Amino acid sequence: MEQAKKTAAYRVVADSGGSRVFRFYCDISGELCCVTRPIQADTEEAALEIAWATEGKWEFNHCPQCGKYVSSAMFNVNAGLCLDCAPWEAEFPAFCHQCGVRLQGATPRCCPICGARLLVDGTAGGKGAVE
Amino acid sequence: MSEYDLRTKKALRQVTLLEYGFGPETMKLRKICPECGRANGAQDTHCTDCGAALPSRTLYDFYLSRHRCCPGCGVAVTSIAEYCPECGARLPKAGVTQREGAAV
Repeated sequence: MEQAKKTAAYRVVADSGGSRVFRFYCDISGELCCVTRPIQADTEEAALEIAWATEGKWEFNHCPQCGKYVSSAMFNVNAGLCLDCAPWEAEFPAFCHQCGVRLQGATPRCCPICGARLLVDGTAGGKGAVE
Repeated sequence: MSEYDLRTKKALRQVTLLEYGFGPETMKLRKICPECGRANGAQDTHCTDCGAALPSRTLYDFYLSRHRCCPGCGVAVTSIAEYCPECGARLPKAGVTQREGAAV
């Protein structure tokens, strides 16, 4: 079984005083999201644990589906998943994605013609998610 | 923020997402430095942190390159969509998803 990812992608810079500075990056876009203060610890692993727990993880969104740690820009807050697992959907769709009918007025949750859910939030297991 | 007409629910939602750093509008305003990973403005040509040349494409272009898109209006669509929810265009069959590596 694949082990769950513990931190976002990172680079470590060691300074002359024995401290380490960690730079954490978004797992999708590679955006630099956090640069930690210099951290003193016996090993790099111990320093990483402190850096991640005290500073790094607060700057990221964790995708429960794929385990990636991503920046806010790469996170779909509506679905609670990263954008690789759930791309942004039109929150106020003008057409039904399944039958193509034009939606009038306030956007309903489901298509009035075919019954398809209009926002699938990356959870549509198969074609035609009908409620 | 003045370009938004906040009288509509859609525009208000866009501004809220932008304020918290989420959503397509945020991605359109960002470029990621391929050298140091710093987020720069979409109008920048060089990284404000390390001076490296920035790519011409924004974070939104990078996002689109990883998803199935509508050939009509260009928005990303889900893999199950048969019609574009924005413009109503009939979409080609799913499964032609272009995936690229991370920007850095």
